[in-house]
Amino acid sequence: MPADALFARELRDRELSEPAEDRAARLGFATWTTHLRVWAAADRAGVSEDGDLAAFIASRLWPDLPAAWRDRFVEVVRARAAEGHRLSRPSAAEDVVGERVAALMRAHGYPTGDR
Amino acid sequence: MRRDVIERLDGAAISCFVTGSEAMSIHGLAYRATDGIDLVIRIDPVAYEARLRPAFEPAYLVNEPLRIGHGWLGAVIHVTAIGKADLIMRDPDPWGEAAFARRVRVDDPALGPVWVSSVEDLLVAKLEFANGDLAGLQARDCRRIVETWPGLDLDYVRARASGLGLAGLLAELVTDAG
Repeated sequence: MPADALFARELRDRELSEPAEDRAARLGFATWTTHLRVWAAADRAGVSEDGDLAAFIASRLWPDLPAAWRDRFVEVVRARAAEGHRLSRPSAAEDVVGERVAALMRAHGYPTGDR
Repeated sequence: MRRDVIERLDGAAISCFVTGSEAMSIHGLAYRATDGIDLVIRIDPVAYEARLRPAFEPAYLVNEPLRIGHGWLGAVIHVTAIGKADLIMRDPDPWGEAAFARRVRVDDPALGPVWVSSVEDLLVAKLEFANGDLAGLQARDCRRIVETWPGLDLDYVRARASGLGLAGLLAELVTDAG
């Protein structure tokens, strides 16, 4: 058996036997990382206005979202910003994956941001 | 594991950059849920055993490089953790050299400072991996790049795609992406 096929089988076997909490923590970290990366990409692209940020984030995180929904999301974000409720950057994993998964991530040694 | 792999390559003085779905994620272009990483590495495949293997064993299982397409593919997996790194060694060619020259340094929230494929070279790589299939995952990523990346240097992509015999596929994809 080629070595790469052996690796694929080995990894599949490990994933199938992975405890549920380990898996939740691992996938929670992937989700948290994705959000951090999208915000970092917005910074690099110089996107800062709330509506533009909403459009940027929606296009990257939910590319299959119907355009009408995305436009509505942008409208709502802009309206809230006009009332002083700015779009807030997630500072901790809890903001993205919730308290339970963030606690699992912490217990498994994953970084979870500042809280 | 991903950071550790990159640090071990650095420690062995093997230049690399991240490509594939991890690069898509680092550029903020897509969500990813696997712990695999694709790395283009600059090493003569002849030196794989002497330089690369000792940098990883015994903490990792290291495969023997396999001849695939325009280069060689190595791989390492950690002995216990879930995660795999594919190590791409491209035969010397103009695109491979250009891709190394155009790689970008990103301070990534998960990996720290890391070299990553430029978005244009990522598009070329995914076109190549699409293997003519415009309905698959690679082509979907290509469309996402074309549709969402501001300032994409399409002239560069066209030139490289042409050199690889992928000009027609790229034209079709760009038309498709609108």
